[in-house]
Amino acid sequence: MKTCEEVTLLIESENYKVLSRKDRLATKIHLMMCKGCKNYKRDSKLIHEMLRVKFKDLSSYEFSLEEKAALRVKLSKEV
Amino acid sequence: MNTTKGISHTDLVENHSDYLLSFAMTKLNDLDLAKDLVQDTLVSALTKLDTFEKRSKLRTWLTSILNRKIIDHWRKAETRYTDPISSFFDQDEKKGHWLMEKSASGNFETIVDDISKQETMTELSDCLDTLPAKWRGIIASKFLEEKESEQICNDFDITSSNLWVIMHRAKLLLRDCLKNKWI
Repeated sequence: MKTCEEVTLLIESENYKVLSRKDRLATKIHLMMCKGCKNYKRDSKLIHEMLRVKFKDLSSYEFSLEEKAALRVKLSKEV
Repeated sequence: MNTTKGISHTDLVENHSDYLLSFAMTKLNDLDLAKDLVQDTLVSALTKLDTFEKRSKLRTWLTSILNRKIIDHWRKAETRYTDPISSFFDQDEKKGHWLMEKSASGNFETIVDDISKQETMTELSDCLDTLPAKWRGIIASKFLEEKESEQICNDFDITSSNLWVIMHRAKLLLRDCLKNKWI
């Protein structure tokens, strides 16, 4: 019988590889009996989706005009 | 003046610095550090303009230099951390089973009615900042750049099972952090 710690790790690794039949079965059986892990699986999917949304676009930042002027000076010294 | 291959330092600053800063901030979420790394990037770019091949886009080339610097930063970042596992799973009696208070009752989904809401994203950013820098880096590489696992493992010098373990731990911490904000 796999522990919750092992099963939640298997749930995560399923995002990266195909689980062996044995692991798949063990996970399935465990999930039927364990509410904690069932909740975890659902939340973990949601967090995955949130991370995807979060990193979908670049957040927008700008250097101030002063900083740009300073950068230009710095660069002109380098050449 | 000061142009090599038709690229001047003014061009670099005016047309690319804001983009590079946005890129670095999305990955690092540390403004001072991001500005420093962008400056370093522009300096290195100028000093090795002769290696820039016109075939690639200037912005792509600059981004790859910046990315290298960000990865170097993460690789150097403190990698020792306390494995959070013992705060989620019982390490004594019922070995490996959820600790009562962490086994997550309360439904996440009903709380996050719209995951793309600005508020939710801000909370997620706050929680991401509580993770070790290297973990945050791995997450950004995976989701922002959609890098293959193999490439991430190479960049961060870890094995693929390290990667799953880190993602697993990171998600446990993120979930806990978000729960504390919401419930």
